[in-house]
Amino acid sequence: MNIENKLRRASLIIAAGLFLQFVSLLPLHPLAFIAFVGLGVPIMGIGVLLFLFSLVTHSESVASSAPVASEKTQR
Amino acid sequence: MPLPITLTLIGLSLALALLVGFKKGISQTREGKMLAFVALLVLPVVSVWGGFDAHLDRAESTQFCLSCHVMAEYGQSLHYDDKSYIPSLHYENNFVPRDHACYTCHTDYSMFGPVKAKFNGLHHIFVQYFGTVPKPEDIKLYKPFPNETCLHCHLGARKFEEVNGHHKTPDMLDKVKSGKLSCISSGCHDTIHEVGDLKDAKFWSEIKGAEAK
Repeated sequence: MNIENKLRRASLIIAAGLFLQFVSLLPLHPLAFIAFVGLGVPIMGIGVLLFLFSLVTHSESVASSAPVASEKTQR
Repeated sequence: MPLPITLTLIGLSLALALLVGFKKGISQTREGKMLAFVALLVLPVVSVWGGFDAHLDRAESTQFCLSCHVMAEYGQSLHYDDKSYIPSLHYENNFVPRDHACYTCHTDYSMFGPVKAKFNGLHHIFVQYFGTVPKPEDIKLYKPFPNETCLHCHLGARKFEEVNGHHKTPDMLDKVKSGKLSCISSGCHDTIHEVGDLKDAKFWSEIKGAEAK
């Protein structure tokens, strides 16, 4: 999966979490707080972690491919 | 953070996250990468903080406390037409803010009092949905009502310091201030919510309604 798709996946998960957080703030009820803490925040957290993970793995792949490119140019 | 601002912030975060998700090639440009960083990390984190703050703030409102069915009778008990009932006396005379009436009297004014109250609230939610909900008249406090909660407002007030009832014995006021003599369970101010009295009670709001007619 390329970085573009990874970012898309992360952003959609974050959007789902944010939507749940938004909806949970509309009613004034204890269950709304539970929905915020138990669903909205974890889903958004997973999305943020996926985003950070995609950045780390992308920079790793760029770094590992860099020497190969330089070897080719030397030849 | 006020609720409208929090909702706007979360809405903005949501819109930007969707933009990053659906716009092709956004990670190709420098600006796109910066937008993705803000939309997928900075704004969501700030939104969580704002949302959490808003939820905790709303959890202190009287309407929130009374949103559970079992608390409805306690809400009614704030409207007794009888000065001997301590909660209704405080509520009707604005001695406590009406929109934070429950929280004002049922939170310790110590460093971790509000945190403790929130954890107790989580326990109440668990009991509401997974436990056995007691009858309203069977609900008891976790511990005897502390004098500190009363003294938080009354200490130093002229009426509190000078009223004859607080000087029945020479050391009575000192005992109250040190917590050795309870304001509530010593028999002086022991008429609290008394939800068992609701059937025969007269309510201040009914009287107000009758006067209006």
